[in-house]
Amino acid sequence: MNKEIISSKELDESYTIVHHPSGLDIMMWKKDGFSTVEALFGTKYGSMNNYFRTDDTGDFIRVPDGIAHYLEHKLFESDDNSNVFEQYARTGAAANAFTSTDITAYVFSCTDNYEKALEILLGFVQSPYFTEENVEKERGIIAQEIKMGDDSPTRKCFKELLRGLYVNNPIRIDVAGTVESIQQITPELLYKCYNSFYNLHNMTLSIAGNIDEDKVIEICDKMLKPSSDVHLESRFPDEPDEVCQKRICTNAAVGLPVFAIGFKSEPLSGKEYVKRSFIAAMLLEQILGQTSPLYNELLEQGLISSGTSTFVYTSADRYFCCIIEGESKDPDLVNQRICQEIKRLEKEGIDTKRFEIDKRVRYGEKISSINDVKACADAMLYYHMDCDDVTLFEDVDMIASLTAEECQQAIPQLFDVEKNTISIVKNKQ
Amino acid sequence: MPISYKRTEVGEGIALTEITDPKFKSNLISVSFVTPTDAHNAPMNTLVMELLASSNAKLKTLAELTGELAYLYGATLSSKSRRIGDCQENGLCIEYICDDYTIGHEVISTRAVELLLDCIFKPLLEDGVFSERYVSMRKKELEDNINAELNDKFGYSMRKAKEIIYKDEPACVSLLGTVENARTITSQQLTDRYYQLLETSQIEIVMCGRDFERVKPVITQAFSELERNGYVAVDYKALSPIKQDTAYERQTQDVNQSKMIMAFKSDYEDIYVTKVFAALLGGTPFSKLFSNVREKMSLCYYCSAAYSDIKGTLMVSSGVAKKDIEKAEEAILMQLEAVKNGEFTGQELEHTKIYLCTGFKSNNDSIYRMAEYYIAQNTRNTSYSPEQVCDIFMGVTRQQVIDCAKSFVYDTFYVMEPEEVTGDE
Repeated sequence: MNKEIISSKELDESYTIVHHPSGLDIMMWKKDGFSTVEALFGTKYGSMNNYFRTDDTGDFIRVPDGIAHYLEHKLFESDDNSNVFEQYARTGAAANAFTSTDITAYVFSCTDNYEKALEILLGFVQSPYFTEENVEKERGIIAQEIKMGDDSPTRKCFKELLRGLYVNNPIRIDVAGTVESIQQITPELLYKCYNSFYNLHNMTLSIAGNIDEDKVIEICDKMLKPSSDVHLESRFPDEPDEVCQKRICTNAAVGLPVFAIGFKSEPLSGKEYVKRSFIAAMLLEQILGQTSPLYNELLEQGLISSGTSTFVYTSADRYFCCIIEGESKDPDLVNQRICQEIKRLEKEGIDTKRFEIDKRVRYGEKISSINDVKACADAMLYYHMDCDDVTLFEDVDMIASLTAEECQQAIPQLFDVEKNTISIVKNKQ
Repeated sequence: MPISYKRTEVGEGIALTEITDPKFKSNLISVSFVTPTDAHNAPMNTLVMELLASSNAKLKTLAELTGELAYLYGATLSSKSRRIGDCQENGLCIEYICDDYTIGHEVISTRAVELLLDCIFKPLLEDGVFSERYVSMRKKELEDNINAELNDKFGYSMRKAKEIIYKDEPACVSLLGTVENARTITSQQLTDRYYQLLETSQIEIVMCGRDFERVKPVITQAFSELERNGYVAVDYKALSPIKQDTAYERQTQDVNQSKMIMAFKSDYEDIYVTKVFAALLGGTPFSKLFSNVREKMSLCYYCSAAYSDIKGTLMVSSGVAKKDIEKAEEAILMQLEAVKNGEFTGQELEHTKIYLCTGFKSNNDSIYRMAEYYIAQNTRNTSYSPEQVCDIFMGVTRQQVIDCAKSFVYDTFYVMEPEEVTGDE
């Protein structure tokens, strides 16, 4: 069994990666003094993986939108008619799951009996049980979940933004699919997806908190069912550099218009991807961070609220965009001012003093995040699944070595105003 | 080293709660001004906190203030204004990383605390009142926030439901007020309200984290020197009166999914028994409501129960299709009836208690949750540790749960629904 220890002297922390013979990669972070255990059992499978083939499927097959999320719901059912929550109940663990564009993960959090909870987690994720009856039963629940999402103007706005930024990329599809698309989901299709993507070679276990690493491995040895490589291949359509639509306006009952502004750039992978993500976040801070002149001007002019936020939305090799979200009485003017500010920064240069201070902010964020067991478990999973050979503590040095020149040079690639889309949700006139 | 909890009085109606735990790498200090809620002062309290969190006499602009916070390794300063039963808790809190984890062990703790205290005690005043320019900005933002309340459909439906559930009680007062009211507020009124909060409110200081040796004396001194005049002690517990007949209210809105809220009230004394009952009914993923109304009957995506001990009110909220509203109401009432009739197994009760204990014990692992946990303990005049609360939970009996369930009366039904039944229903 291959084992690596990743440690950081400055942060006084370390975690272990084990490459288990079953094919599963196991990440373990023992957190002294903490009483909680957080675990995620994840697969590199999300809403984007809707066209794929394996040795079993032969040809490429296309599956209905929202099937990865549907599958996540259905794995909670077992063949003895009990559901997984009932099994967890005796351990006190709080269990959940989520599906994103590229990852599905099953999660639990507990303070006692983590060994039993881990057995349940590894057990049910490896034991699918789909029948006509139980698949049918879920349709109503998921339809309600989709409708609940439609009632959130922020979510609706973001969804439309992605549809505006991308032409062919399956990121345009909502993770849960649509009420119509989920009607096509059958037990056979669920098994096809399960057998393709829920292969231990495609999966990671991440566990942090009050754990004993030897005990975790012992449970894995007992519970994991080695799986053979099925030669999974997902295919994604070519995506042009240009955006699909520069402005999208939809209606919903809102008190104040909601907006999301995005800048599309080239997807990356590995170290370059992680580094570029930091550069993008630091440039967003320069453009519309709370210490930026534009943020304060727009706030003073009543054009944005203090709830305006910026973030980088990415997946290695698949998509990379910089996002600004908020509420405004005049979103188009906000977008115009942001584009002007980008051009000004390109011409006059970024504020190097603020850039250096921002490095301290990133360092502080890192320290604060490792205070939280859940954040530690989440970060191990994401770094391992999305960032290839980059370890969780490398980014501290990566940020320290970033230069203002590198950031400056990245503006044209990351914030090309020609690859800008604005999505607005406002009241019906 | 175990977690330690200490609560001391540092002035008239000013308490300092100190929760120390060496495992944390960052600290949280929160200062709250607690007052009874009233419609006139509530939006002003909210505005005062916003003003205090955006500048002070030394750092005169938001940009300067956020620049200093960024320099302090991205320390965060935030304002809060929220309801605790019939009271309003207004305050500021700062989170910063411990000196041991800064680059080269640079001392930032004293600077972070100085910033917090400057915001509280040395606000930016012009001719003795809050700067007109900033007041008008914050007022505009308040107006925007009032208008934007509709954007969060779940929160909006909950607020509308509470207007009926807590009719004529301070708990139904909007902390933001109305746009018309926001426009009439003046700088002078806000300045007067600021001094009133310092002089009369109950002040709760909570420090959570480690290494408070440098900062504790600074905080203690600043508050012990505060002049108090007409201090009003608050009484958190204010049970909501039970309506003679269940109130029914249906409102239409441009929504896809109906948001249904049902309130039940009781004067049952033991809050920990009630927490077990509420969790058994609808507080876990294996509760009566989740496993029957959602899983077996597929009536809704969410269906859960939450209990406010201060108001003696249990709220069941669910997201349902319009055509299923009556069915879901009936199903929820049936599950409550089942608990009243003792239709639950010993195992279900045991699992519920264990689940609750997990949640309570996990409070120990976050500075925010730990601070919130002890703030809630303070509202009950108790200081139980999460472990002590777990011992109480484990001692709750089946009969206590049944008696508690029987004491709850159906008080209010509220639904926010779309106008028409949509095609895909």
